[in-house]
Amino acid sequence: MERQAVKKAREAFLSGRTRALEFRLQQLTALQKMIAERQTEIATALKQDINRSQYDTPLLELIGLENDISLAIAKLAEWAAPRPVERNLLTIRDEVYIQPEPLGVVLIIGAWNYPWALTLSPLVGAIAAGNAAVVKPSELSECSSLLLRALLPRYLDQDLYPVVTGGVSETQELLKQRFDHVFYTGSGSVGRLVMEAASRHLTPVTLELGGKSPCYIDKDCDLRVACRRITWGKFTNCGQTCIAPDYILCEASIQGKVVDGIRQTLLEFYGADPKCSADYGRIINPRHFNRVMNLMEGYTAVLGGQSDASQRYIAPTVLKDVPPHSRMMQEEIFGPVLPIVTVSDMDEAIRFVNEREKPLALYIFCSDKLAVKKMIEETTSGGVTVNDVMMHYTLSSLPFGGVGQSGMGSYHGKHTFDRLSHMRACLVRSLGMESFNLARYPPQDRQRLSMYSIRGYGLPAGPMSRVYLLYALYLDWLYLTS
Amino acid sequence: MSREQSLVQRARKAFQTGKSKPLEYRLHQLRCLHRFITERRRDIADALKKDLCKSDNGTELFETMSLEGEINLAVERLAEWAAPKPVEKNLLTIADEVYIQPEPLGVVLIIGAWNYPWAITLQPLVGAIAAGNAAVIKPSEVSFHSAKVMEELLPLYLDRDLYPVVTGGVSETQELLKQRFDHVFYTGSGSVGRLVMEAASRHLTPVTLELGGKSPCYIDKDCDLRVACRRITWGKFVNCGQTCIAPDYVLCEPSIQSRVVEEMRKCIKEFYTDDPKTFEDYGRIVNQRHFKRVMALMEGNTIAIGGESDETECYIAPTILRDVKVESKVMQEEIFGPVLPIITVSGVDEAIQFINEREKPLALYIFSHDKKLIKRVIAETSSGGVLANDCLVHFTISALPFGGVGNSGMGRYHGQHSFNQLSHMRSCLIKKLNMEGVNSMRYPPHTSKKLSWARFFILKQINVGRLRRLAMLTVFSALAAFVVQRFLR
Repeated sequence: MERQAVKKAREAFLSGRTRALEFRLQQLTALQKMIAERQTEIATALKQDINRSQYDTPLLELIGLENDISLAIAKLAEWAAPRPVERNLLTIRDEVYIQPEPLGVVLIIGAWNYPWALTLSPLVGAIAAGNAAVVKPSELSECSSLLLRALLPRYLDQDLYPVVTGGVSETQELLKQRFDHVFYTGSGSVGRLVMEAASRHLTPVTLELGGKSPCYIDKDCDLRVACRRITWGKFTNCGQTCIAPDYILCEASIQGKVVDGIRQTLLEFYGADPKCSADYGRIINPRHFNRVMNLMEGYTAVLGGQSDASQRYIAPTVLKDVPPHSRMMQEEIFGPVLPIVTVSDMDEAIRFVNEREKPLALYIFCSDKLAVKKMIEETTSGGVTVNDVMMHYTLSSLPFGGVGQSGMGSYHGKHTFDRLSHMRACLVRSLGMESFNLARYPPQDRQRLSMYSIRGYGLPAGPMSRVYLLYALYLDWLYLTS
Repeated sequence: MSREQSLVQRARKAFQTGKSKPLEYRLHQLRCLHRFITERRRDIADALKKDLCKSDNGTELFETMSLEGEINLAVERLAEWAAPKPVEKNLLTIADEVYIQPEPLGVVLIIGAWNYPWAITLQPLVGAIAAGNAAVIKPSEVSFHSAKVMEELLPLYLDRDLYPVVTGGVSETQELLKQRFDHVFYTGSGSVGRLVMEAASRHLTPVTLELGGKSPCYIDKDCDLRVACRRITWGKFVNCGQTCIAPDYVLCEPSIQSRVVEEMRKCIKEFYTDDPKTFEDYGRIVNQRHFKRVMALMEGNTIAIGGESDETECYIAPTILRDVKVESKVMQEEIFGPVLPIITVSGVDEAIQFINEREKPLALYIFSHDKKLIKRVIAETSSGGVLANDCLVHFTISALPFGGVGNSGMGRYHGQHSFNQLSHMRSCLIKKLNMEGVNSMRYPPHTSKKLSWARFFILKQINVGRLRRLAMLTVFSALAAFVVQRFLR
């Protein structure tokens, strides 16, 4: 079934119909329509999958998607146009440009935590770039996956953008097929398998992975505001966000205040019993529930800690004085558990971050501009937001992606378009001016060679270079008439 | 611990000291690399003569000149390339600092090729150094004189911990590929490219693969055949056809085939004399294995020009085959030798179909006076790069990204593209801890009112430039009103 879908998508792509910008715009508009018309059904599916609140769905997934689509529609002509580049003296009379082209058939493997945003945002870029795309939503968010399979063919071209649902074996079957790009969002272990499968066909990949995103809180900053923003970022979607602040680093002297700040904010956001709050989510499935519960073993929570396996509910939990080498600090938590690790100062925080794998996001809460710049300079991460969390994700002009174990490639806005296009180098010369080429033909002698090097490299167009050019032409004339 | 493992570890430790971060350090290393090329011209030319029978001028034209150009460009532009790049903001971030910061990746592995052992191995190194990385350089063992010279001399100019040269064959390369790098840059064949990417996948290491393929060359019947054939002949027989972007085969209509052959015959004579074997500027096949491979490809075809060979010297004369059948061996793999098959097609439609039935090539060449035809071929095909009315020279334009697509490769380099390819473009958003009120629309408990505010802020397209101009206009108007009030009453 998978092979059929890919074959049909390739045939549809080869028909050439995605080349016309009007077609791509029409598909993007249809996708926009789908999201606008089906909000309620999407929200219902998400409630069943992950207990997403009615407002969090548009806030966290759909508004961003709408934004992506509007931007693509508004800017497609500009993005797809040939991009002229700087010429040198050698090419001064030529057409030199980069032409964005479709790659062909893209495979998009979505994730379960934001099943709509993370599956459809790459699709927007794939459509805009003129590709066909096989969409494989995550089976863990089952209701969303089935809904997508039902809805997408009603709005988009069924052959060009098929939805393939299924689990591990269907995904493996898909990965055996040949694609022109594979876009994967998920874990590092599966990311390796995806890249290995892609290597057999020399298929380029984009891997949006994860990791432990550190959150450093400087002791001299407005802790009240910092804790509010961190609390929001951590417990949204029950901590199941790839760029959630995974753990806090702060000095021991402020640890108590941080805990208090978070406690106050939790009360404000979710009330005394988050289990009853309409806005507090659940863990996606029993396996992940058990995984997160196991990570908490042996700790006494300073906040939260309650759970209910029947609902896959884990209360917003904060742990203090967590040892740096504990199990909690070995894997990405991806749940509503926030460990605090104490450090003696910012330098120790920097060392701590650098001793570990490069994270997808780094958060720094600090009012001292110089200290912030220092921390940014002395660390690395996919992205960094200072004095807030997650917000760098929302700006489409910033490329969103990881580095090292947190991933490769980036997207959002124009970056998705560029990522899923081939940037073809084009040089259109004329068959005239053959004398310019003489220096390169054998038999090669020194004088003509140096004229060629002046023409070819480095000298921008300007008055002195014209003098050289005239001299070069004179030499050529001498040669031609000799 | 193996030699490769300890060299990589040393490079990583050297990188972690942070010494490659300051721009002055990178500029210093780049200037040392430049000095290496200018001071050791003789050694480089001698090595190339032994490896590929390259003439001195051939070496300069095709290896060191482009390298020097890349280094000069990097030195001149490094500050600009490495600077933070501010990006467009939205209403939510209007008061914030938003920019992309290029950063070093870490330790890059550069695996070079044998056909242009200096240009292809050191050009990526220029980008690696400029981007602030350490780099382990593995030149091809097939061009072993060049590899030896690189191993002996490069450490005399560059930091030997940050940029070690590792020589060796298949087993040394495999040992290297087991190590963990932050990027692997490979130039060579597709079959090895697959293995490189597979090895890299184990460490989630991104790769750049500069591979090859059969680069088609279409000659339109209504074009200046004399000039077209000159350029094609030059592009094909440079380095004895051993160029990844050499025009691999020609497509043209049967009516012009004979003229094409005649023009090329004249050019071969003009460039390489009647006896290319004795001529300084004509190269040799790199080794016996490739010599035999190329000779085997000629079997079963009509030789229009050339065909002579001498196994003892790995010499193959500039050879042109006519009326080549599509099924013949010469059309099944990249030739990478001085053999140019001509395949006849009924016109540009059939040529486009022919090209599209095959793997995406690294380069596509179109010779025609008709701009519309050229644009049509470009629009209806795909390739790494495309060059109309000339061969090879798009390689020399550093503003153009050089790389393949599909089986011809992934990623690109040259000029700033090398720098970008070997950097991490880190997104940075610097906010302040004030204006907390604005954030309330995102916090629970959620209400539809908050949501509609969120919609407004996120979806409103803001033209920051226009906003600034509007603000300035307002200030100006207020000032004008004030002046009128105060002084002109």
